[in-house]
Amino acid sequence: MIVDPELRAWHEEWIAQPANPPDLAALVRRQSRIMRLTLLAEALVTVLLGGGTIWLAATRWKVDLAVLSGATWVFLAVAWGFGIRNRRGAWRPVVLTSSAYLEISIRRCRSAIRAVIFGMLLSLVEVLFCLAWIYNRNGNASFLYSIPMMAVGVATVVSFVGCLVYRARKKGELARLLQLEKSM
Amino acid sequence: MPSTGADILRVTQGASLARKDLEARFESLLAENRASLSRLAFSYTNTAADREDLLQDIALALWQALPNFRGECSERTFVYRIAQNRALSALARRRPTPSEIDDVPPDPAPLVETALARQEESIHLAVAVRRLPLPYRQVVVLMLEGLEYGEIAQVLGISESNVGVRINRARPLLRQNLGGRR
Repeated sequence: MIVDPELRAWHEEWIAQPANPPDLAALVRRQSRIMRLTLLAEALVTVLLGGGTIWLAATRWKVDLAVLSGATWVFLAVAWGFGIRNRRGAWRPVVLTSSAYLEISIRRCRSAIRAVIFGMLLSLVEVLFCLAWIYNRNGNASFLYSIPMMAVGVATVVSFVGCLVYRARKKGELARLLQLEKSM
Repeated sequence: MPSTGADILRVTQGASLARKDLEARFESLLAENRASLSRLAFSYTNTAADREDLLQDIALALWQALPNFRGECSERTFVYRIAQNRALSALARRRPTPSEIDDVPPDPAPLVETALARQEESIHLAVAVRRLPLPYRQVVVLMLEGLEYGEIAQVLGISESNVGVRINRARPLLRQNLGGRR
């Protein structure tokens, strides 16, 4: 109950604001579906890549396929290991006071920036490994001029540019979060 | 641990009921707080699209946090905590507009034109609140929503006396922000 007349007048004006919020429940249902699908896609990539290379190595019994399978699992393990370590402490419950929430948001932002750099480096190592693997298999570098390889090259460059844009956005967000923290 | 088919069926039915309960609770929380959340989102965003995005973020965070809510605080405090936190995230995500940097009030004219005449004053007030510095804006928004000092302190994680100090400091600024437009 607001006793102060000025505050009460402001309160009455405040609650007279027009409010036409969208159907939030429907939006949340849609968003939850998207999140579940994203998680499923991540698990599928791991299973398909890891499982696929194991299946190839197991059915064909060739050294180069065993190397490919081993390397794929090393890359997957490194990626998951980094992900788990990087997210440590950044996934506490959502319901926190504002100051605690700001602190955790800053931590999340920093881990996202670290993850982008790590992802770019890991992708670079993977691409170099794949090139060396194909070269070793073919015995020459003519495959570099094939259309699929060029498509992979273009996709790599585009994804790197995307990563850099995302990193710049996250750095801006981090700067604003730090500013908010200072102003509180 | 379920051992028979009947046990598994019972557990599955229980989970399905719990989910239905959760959904019903979520929808009722949203329905009860629809207008408040909309007003809160308005005081942290400059465009209708940003406001809708923020509302969606708040609703999603509410849905994710609801299963862990054990009644440590009132439902109202719980909802406002989530809303305030998501508003902070929204502030961090978007670039500050020139009006915020220069502290020039955003022009409420387009909003006023489209609003009903009796709502003009409330929109002026909302715009004036939006111009307050963040620590003051947070307490003022919650105070205008009718929260007690103790509840505001719980939402923001500050002391009740700090809430009082912030409100006292915010009042002349709010008066000043409203002054030129009344």
